[in-house]
Amino acid sequence: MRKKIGIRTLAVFMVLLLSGGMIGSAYAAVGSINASYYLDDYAATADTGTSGEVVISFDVNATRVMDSVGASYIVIQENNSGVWKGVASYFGSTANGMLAADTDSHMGSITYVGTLGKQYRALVTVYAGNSTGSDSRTVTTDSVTAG
Amino acid sequence: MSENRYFRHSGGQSGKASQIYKHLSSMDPDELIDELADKWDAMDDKDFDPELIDAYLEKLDKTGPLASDFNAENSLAAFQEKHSLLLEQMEPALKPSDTIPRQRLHSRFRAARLIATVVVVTLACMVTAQALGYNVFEVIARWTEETFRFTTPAQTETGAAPSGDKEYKDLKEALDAFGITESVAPTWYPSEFEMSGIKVSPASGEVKFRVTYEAEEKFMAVTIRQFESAKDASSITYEKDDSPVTPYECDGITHYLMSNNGQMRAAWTNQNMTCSISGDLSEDELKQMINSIYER
Repeated sequence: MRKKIGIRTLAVFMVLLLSGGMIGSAYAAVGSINASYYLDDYAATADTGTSGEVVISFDVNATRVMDSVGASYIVIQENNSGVWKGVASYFGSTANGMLAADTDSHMGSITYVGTLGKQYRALVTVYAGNSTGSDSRTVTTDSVTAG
Repeated sequence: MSENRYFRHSGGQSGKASQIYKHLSSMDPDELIDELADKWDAMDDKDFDPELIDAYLEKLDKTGPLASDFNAENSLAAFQEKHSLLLEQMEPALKPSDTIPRQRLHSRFRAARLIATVVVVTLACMVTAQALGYNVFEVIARWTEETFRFTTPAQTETGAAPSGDKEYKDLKEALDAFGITESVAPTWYPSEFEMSGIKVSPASGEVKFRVTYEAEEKFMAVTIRQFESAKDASSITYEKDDSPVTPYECDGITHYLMSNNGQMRAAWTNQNMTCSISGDLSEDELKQMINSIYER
């Protein structure tokens, strides 16, 4: 009987585990359906330059021509013994080139001078908006080591 | 609790034995194993029926014998020699009547159970991975209910990029200027649209081509990104709603069709490029545009 319980318990456990995973996944999706009337696709990457430079690039495509498209906010984070801590932030504007006006897409970048050997990454908030509303997403770049 | 669903232990065994053999004679090895597993599950130490189990094993030996080079006696002797110390310690607890049928049963069932466990765990990992957005069967694309990404595009080196300031009459001319010969530019689009702009943006490790088309309230765009590294290509996130992603094969390339709040999109990779067509299009129009890329 112990064998019967063991095998069947394992089977039931696996079924519940799988069902739970799928239910959890479906629930998460239903609870946070993204899609966007403003953002079509976007990307943000981190690369290293010379002398400790960390270059954060972004690329945003909107679903149509918008009043403003680009990155509205960028936070640079530094890794200190496994803890990511913000060390610089940039607010987007058309003047600093993080946002562009009356367009359907925008690419840009900012450069931060870090400490040699330290790891950096960025949280980039991409944005698209017009008179009917706006939408934004925050993307975390891969980390890079300043060199 | 101790009742055997298929065969009562008390009384009538000999009478039913012939029925059992008759019943088993019509079964193939897989059916025998399945039914034996059910009966084994239904038994416990009180109503264990060695005659019934032997009947199944005997029939199994006849219909699906073990590999001829397998010698049970030699294997048992080797096992006993290897674990002689342990067996000596356990011997008083083992009853001869218990060990013989159980050993035979265990050797088959341990293998079957191991295989079953591996299959279940593998399937579990695959399904869970799929639910988490990793497509274990086709690793080039992954998506959730909310977004779509390519994860392992091909890597090739790009040539020296010309300036993006030049004006181009169409996408093909722009692609030609950058030495891109792969078929990625649609040659057809719905007649109501007119090209409203073409932008070429060379950046570090990437060149982006984007052509836009407008028709009254409608908008659509064709975007081609050529990358130097797979890492950058995998950074693109496409917004999508919870409707399913539909693969559309054309010229040996899988185009992934999806929608984003009413706008349709096709996304695909070709060599070191990720490409998309998105906008106020029907699925048929999107497919026609894709077909036109490969018409020669």
